[in-house]
Amino acid sequence: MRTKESHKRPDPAQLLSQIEADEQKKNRGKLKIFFGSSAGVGKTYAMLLEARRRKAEGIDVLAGIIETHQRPETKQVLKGIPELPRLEIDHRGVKISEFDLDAALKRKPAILLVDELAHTNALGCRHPKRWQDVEELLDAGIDVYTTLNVQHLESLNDVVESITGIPVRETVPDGLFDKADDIILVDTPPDELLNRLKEGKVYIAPGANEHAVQNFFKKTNLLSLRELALRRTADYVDVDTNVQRRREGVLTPNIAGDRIMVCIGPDQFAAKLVRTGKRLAAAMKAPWIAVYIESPDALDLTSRLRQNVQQALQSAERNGAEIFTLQGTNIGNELVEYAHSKGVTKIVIGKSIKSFWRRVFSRNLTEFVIAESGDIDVYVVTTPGASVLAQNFNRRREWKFPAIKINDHLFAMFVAAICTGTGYLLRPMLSNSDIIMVYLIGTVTVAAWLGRWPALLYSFLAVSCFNYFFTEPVFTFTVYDSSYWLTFAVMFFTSFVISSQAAKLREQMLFSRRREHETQLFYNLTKQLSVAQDEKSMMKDLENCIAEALHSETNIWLPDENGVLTMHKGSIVEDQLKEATAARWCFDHQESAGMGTNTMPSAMHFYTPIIGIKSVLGVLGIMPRSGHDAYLPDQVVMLKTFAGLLASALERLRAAEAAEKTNLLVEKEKLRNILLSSVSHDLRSPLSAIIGATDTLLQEETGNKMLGSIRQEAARLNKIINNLLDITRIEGGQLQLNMRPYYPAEIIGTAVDACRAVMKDHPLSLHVDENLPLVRMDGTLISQVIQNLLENAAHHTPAGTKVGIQVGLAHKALRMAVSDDGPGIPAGQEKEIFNKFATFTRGDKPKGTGLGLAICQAIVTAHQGRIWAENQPQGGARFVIELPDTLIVEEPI
Amino acid sequence: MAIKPRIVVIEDEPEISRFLKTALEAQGYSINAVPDAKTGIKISSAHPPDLIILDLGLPDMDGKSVIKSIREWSQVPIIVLSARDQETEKVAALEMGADDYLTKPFGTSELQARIRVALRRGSRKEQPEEQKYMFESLTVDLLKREVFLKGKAISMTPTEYDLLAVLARKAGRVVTQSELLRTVWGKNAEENDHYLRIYVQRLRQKIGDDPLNPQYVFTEPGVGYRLREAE
Repeated sequence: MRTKESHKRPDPAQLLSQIEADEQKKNRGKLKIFFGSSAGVGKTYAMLLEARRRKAEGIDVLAGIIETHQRPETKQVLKGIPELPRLEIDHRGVKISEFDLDAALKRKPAILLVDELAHTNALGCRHPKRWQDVEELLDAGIDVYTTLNVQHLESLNDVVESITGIPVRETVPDGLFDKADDIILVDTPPDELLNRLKEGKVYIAPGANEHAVQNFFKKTNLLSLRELALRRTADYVDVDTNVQRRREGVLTPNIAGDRIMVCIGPDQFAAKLVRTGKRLAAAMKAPWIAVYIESPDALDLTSRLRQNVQQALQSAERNGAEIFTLQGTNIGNELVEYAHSKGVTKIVIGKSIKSFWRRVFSRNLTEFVIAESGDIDVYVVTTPGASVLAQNFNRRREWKFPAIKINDHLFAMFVAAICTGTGYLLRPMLSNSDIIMVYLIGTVTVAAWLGRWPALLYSFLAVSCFNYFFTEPVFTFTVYDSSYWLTFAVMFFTSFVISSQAAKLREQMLFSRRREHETQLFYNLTKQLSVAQDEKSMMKDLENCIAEALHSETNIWLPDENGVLTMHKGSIVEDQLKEATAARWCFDHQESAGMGTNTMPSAMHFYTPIIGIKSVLGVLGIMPRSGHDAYLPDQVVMLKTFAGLLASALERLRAAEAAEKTNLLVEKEKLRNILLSSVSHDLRSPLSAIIGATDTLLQEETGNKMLGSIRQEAARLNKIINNLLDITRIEGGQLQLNMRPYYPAEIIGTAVDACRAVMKDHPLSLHVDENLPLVRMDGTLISQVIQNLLENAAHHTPAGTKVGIQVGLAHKALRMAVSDDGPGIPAGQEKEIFNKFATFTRGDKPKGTGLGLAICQAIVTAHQGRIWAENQPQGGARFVIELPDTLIVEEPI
Repeated sequence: MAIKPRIVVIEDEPEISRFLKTALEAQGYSINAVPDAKTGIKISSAHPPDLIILDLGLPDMDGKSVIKSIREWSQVPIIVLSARDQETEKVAALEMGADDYLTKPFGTSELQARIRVALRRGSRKEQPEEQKYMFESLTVDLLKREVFLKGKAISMTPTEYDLLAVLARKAGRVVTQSELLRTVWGKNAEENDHYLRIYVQRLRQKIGDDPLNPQYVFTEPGVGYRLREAE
């Protein structure tokens, strides 16, 4: 019972990933696929009908690209749906019209119709495939309706080919299909479809092979394709149900605990193996791993094969596989060990075809895995036309003229000469079989030290010399004793075996030396980056390292303050705009782009994002020094490691810089505060005394004008010092609000009272609404704001100018305004005057310190309120303070 | 001739100290100016003065502790001098038992008014408590619990009256918010600021006082209320 229960309980991690996926889905556009078994079933028609319905509901539907194929019914339904203008691309003089992705993203309709999901875009488009355009549209939150035929599904590609005998090159990953929010199966019985074909209602691409078309549209084929389409739709529903069940905790999938591992080598099998693995994994609902086996001579692979491998791995990753690269010389053992460590239950592997000799001397990898895998099931996959593949396999290295090392061959000849000489001199003492031994010493020496070709040369020379100098008849190449033929054979054989084994050893040594070299590189780079003092030298270090390790040119893009990616390292290439676009895409999507990838493959560089802890810091691009090529998975891994190292180094540097900056700022701020407060303190004490003293004197001598002006100016000075002190306090973050409820009238009352002396020449009118609620505020500070505004009004307007205060509620917020009938604020400076030390002259009054309004703004902002200045229509300035409704106190009854 | 009231001024800034001494001596007070708290306390305990003027920004002790140590043995009136940025210390000093405060810089008339009120409180300790508060047309009879405006009796709720009575007993001096809340509503009401606002508002309405231009009850933002000094 318990186990059953535990099966039912959803795994938290799984649920979490489900939640995350759901979250992601929320912002993502919805994908609806109209799915059919073959061309002509009416997918486009069905899609357009649905689009019309949505349009009638008032939804913004846009036809991104529709292939009507000039069919009147289709054209009829398309009427009334706005169409996006196509992008005209000039490809070698031929105009091709393509779907305009950027225009669609810009237009951002609610629903976009994109026909033929499997379409391959013309060269020069952002993505090579239309389904990638669709992915980007979905990411941008646009709902997409699209059409798809069963033969274009990646996992069914091989099956369809085996049914129809026609290879299909345009494929769509199954992941996209399974992620679709809705699949609508458009089904037409084969007989009807054949009728439509006869009536010419099925679109056949012009120039298509008549024979192929006839072959394709056979009833048996159509029946099989229909079955495939139905089954795939059922699978989709099954996946959907499982997702739903998992959400509800009804079912834990893959109860059997299967885990599938697909082994990919640098060969033609890669794509097919990945497809097989994906199908198997989907059928068993099991997680799967794609392991790439790197061989020592991988560096010599042709660029086409490199691309094959890279694309196969990308396809696996897209379809949910975990990717791993295995390297080393003892691949078989490592493979089996890795499979055990990962709990793999099924291994998918291709038939590896080896050269005849290798097959004789070593067990092939597949056989090894079968023999050593123990309880793991092994599925061996073959491809039709193995011979063709075998040819391809053998030709997989670009044919290079073997570099002949003249010295080695000369040395081989020299050894042959020595052996012959020694044998000749010792001939009286030695029998011919002993002389063969002498030659054998030479064979071993040459084979072990110099490799295969010098060894073969030596063997040939040795046999020839032995034949010439020692066998009867001497000094001829004729042989009487047939037993010598065996001697010759043994000699050749020995030299071959020894040189092969020695070569293998050397290869292994080279391989481990390469690894060691890589480790050393990483170590050096880490060391260099950790001591680098600026970004420039970091980039220089990385560039050197990449040049050494990947024989490539480096290209580093970092965003500037405005977020514009700028190239900081690297050289400008012909089509720099394309490079910039690829780098930008890589930066925005945090995915690799450019050469050898699915995004902008025509770019010269391969780009990978430099991903920091919180954000993408930039883009790292590399371009092989020897022209166009694709990078191998392990090189990509290496590059990503480099990017990671650079990211952490950059982040370290930036953090250090930021810390230093803040430190400096803090120190500066501290110093300023100390200075200001001590200055104002030292100024204030004598001022207090002056004010007190003049006050005393004024009591005795009222009317003494000199004393009066001393008193007035002292008060003004005091105000300035207070302002300075206040702004210092506010900027030092020491402004603490003492929030208490007040009736606005009370606060206005205190402010008016405090400003009585200043306002003696300015008649003041108060308009405070009755029954204003209690408002939470710092009474002292808000009173000070009003005082500052009143003082400003008095200061900047001629004597006798009326000043008014209006207080009331506006949209539940408390509004307090101080207005005057004076000359107003210079136009356009309504905002500026709140800046610190911003002063302006109104009339001939002396300038103030420019701090009063800055203080007001700081105080009001601290209350989450707003303050602004305006000129009144009837003239004069008006300063308005608004305290938010959240500060209003609901009065208890 | 009456004996000159003696005032101890504890102020570390010589300019202010000198000004106070000159101004107050001219007013007929005897001044003992000291620059630090310890000397101030020593002198005050040796010869109890009639009033202490205490600066809150002393170098050797903070104002609160000075008040606390003085209050341990004396009810002598204390007026504190505070700078503008010592708001909280000022309120704390009042809570500790200071009678009133003056914010620097202050005018002479303000100073004299505060001293006058404080000295009156000081001298009252030997006399029976004043029975009546009178200013212009407002009369509060503290014995009979009656309030008259322009000769007419005003009806008040007990809370309103209690509030007015607290202010009237300390007329001319600031009464802190928490003191008002504590005495009128009880110990647990200290946080309920809005009670106070609402009742002050009602009180003002009843005695015909406009908060925009008050004649009787003055708001001291952040500190409390002050009823105008009696005639």
